Amino acid sequence: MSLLPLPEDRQVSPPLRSLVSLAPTDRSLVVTGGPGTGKTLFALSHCLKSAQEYSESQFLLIVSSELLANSLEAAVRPTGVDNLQVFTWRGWLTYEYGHRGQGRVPRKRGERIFDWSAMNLDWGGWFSAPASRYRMIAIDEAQDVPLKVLKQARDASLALKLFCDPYQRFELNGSELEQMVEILGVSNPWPVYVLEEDFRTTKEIQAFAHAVFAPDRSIPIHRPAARSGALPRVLLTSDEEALKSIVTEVNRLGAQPGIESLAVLTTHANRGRIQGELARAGLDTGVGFSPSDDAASIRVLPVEAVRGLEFDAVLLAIISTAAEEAAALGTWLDMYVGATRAREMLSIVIDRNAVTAEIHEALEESADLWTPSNGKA
Amino acid sequence: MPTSESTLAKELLEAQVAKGNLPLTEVTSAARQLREASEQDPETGRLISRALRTALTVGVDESVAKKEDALREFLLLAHTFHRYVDVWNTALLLDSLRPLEPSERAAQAVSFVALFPGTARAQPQRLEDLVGDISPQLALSILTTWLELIRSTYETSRRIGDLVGDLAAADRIASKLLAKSPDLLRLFDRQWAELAVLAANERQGDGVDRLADLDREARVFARAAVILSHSVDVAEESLSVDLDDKAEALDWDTSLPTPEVLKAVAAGLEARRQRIWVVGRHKDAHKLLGVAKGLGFSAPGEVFEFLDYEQVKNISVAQKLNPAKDAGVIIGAVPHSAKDVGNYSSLVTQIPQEYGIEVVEVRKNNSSAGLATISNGNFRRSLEKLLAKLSVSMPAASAA
Repeated sequence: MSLLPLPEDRQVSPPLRSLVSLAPTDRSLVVTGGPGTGKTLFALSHCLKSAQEYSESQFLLIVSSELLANSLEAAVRPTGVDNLQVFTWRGWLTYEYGHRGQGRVPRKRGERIFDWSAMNLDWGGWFSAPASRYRMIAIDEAQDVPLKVLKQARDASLALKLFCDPYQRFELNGSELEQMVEILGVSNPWPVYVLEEDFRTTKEIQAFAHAVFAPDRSIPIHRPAARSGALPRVLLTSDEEALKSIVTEVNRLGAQPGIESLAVLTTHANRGRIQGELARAGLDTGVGFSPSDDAASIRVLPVEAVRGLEFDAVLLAIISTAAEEAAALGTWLDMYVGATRAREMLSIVIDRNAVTAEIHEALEESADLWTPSNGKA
Repeated sequence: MPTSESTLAKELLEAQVAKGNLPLTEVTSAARQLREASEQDPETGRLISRALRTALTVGVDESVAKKEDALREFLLLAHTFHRYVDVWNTALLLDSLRPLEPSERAAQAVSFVALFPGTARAQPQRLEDLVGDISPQLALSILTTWLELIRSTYETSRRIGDLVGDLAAADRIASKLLAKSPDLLRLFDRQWAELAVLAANERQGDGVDRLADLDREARVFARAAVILSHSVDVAEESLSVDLDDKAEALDWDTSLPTPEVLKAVAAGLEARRQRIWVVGRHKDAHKLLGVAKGLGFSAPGEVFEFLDYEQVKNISVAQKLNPAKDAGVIIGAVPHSAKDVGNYSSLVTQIPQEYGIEVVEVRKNNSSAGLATISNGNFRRSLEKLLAKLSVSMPAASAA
């Protein structure tokens, strides 16, 4: 399974191809677009093309997750391009900090949280020399990158390309579209390109995901996906039956013609339970984040870590017994992202007690957009 | 255009899209022939857009400079077919080659408000920067398209706050772009005011959760009232909202206590069996009691006493008041010949001074035009105001 094939491996839509070809390497800009419009692909294509063209210069691509960074690095390696690095923004800061001889990045409250105050003490000596060491930095999902990191990226490069979807801002300390434009220092014309056409998923999956998980997306000017396919399938179940339903549905999806990659997307805490149940049913699953796990045809992944990825079939498992996790399931934007990873087929297993009345209502109101498998709530 | 030609043009496009190698001149010619058909059939419109974009892509490895004419052609056609994303991206590319012409800037501006409604709302000056120096006619076409987009977006999202914000932004830009063309500004105003009336109608009967936006809304609604009051061909009865009433909100203090505090004050009044007088011309008392119920009174019939316009002519309001029992008076339009009272302003000063009872006036607007008929909307706001005043003298409620 290839998580994200390189551009030549797939049909790239005409507008995307135009933009990749026409966008100047040395000009800072922002590119916005919804799921499936090709932001990650554009970022990768543009970086590869530019890195090949300017082989003496350094290029950097920053993406949203380790999973995606590993995957893209594995995709870049065979092309022979060695002047393009791929990091997450946290990984990049860690790399730069160590590279400048500062040692380990100061953190607080465990491993993930950077201690910005301690870092600021070193900030001047850290990035100031040499400025513009990268010819171009491209940042995917830039809406979730803190503004101070975007500013450092601007100073460290000749041109900064920001790829974002303002509707999908997850991080509280992320950046707004207007802020991104401001740091580029190009106010007129507004340097924001727009990708519109969803060429990943189907009309049916897109319409369902909008209606149930992201009603803000349902604005009239949005163009529907080009392809048609099967209606998404919804299984409303109980906590006791949820795991069995997932196994049944995974078997059903896996048996469909043309389905070569399948992801079960859920919250972190549910991954172990689901993997255990699938293993007991004799189904082989990938467990880690490294590209070598691609050998497995079924992946059980945390839904918040799948932006930029896509699969033939997706099963969204919205299940939980823990109250705090049920509260976490209120972040429906994650589920929207998860649903729109599906190229061909989407199934959702929902523990009817784990979701809010809002979602039950949304499901009822969009009854014509999905197929029930065991009767509606 | 005969059907056979239309079919032929469509087939040509389909074949060319399938082939993926399109001469732009052929595609634009076919697109023009199909323009009428595309208005009836969205699929045809989509096919044209796809064909145009595919055609534009052909030979993209060549210098962008050689594509200037093609980019311009594409931009204007995409604008014709309302392909906002195509217009926007192409305008950016074309702008990197040469300054955009007025018609191109107008197309770009329309795409800006379509694609970035939040930015247009929050930073309307960006639209002004994009538009630059253009004719008033082009400016009007941008502004009216913006209003259409605002309406269609609201019909989907039902977000009244965004609608009001959009209206305020559009008004601000119109006043600059059409400053030298009063006739065109009036045309814009009419369309704008009709949309503002839609917003005002939607607001009727809303809860108190909207208070944060009230000041901005009041200004929008008040301006709509002014425009429509000068418009001779809009029938007054077509407006199902009392715009004077909305305009009155301009004078409204938005620093109200929370709804919880107001409810606690209401409960305190009921517990102490206190009364509130509603004096002057008012709409159906039952409906006003319903409004009071919405603000936390469980048995409003036992709290509110009404003295209507006619009664005030013959009954002394002052004599009806009992300082031990009465908590407040909401006063609307009263006759100049109210018994024992020279005019309403003396009544308003007399009651608090002599009886220590709080009074809230229901004014027509933010001027000295006088007191208004008490309607559901202004009654709710006046009652909120009164409860807010009473909350100061009821510390227990403030702490709630």
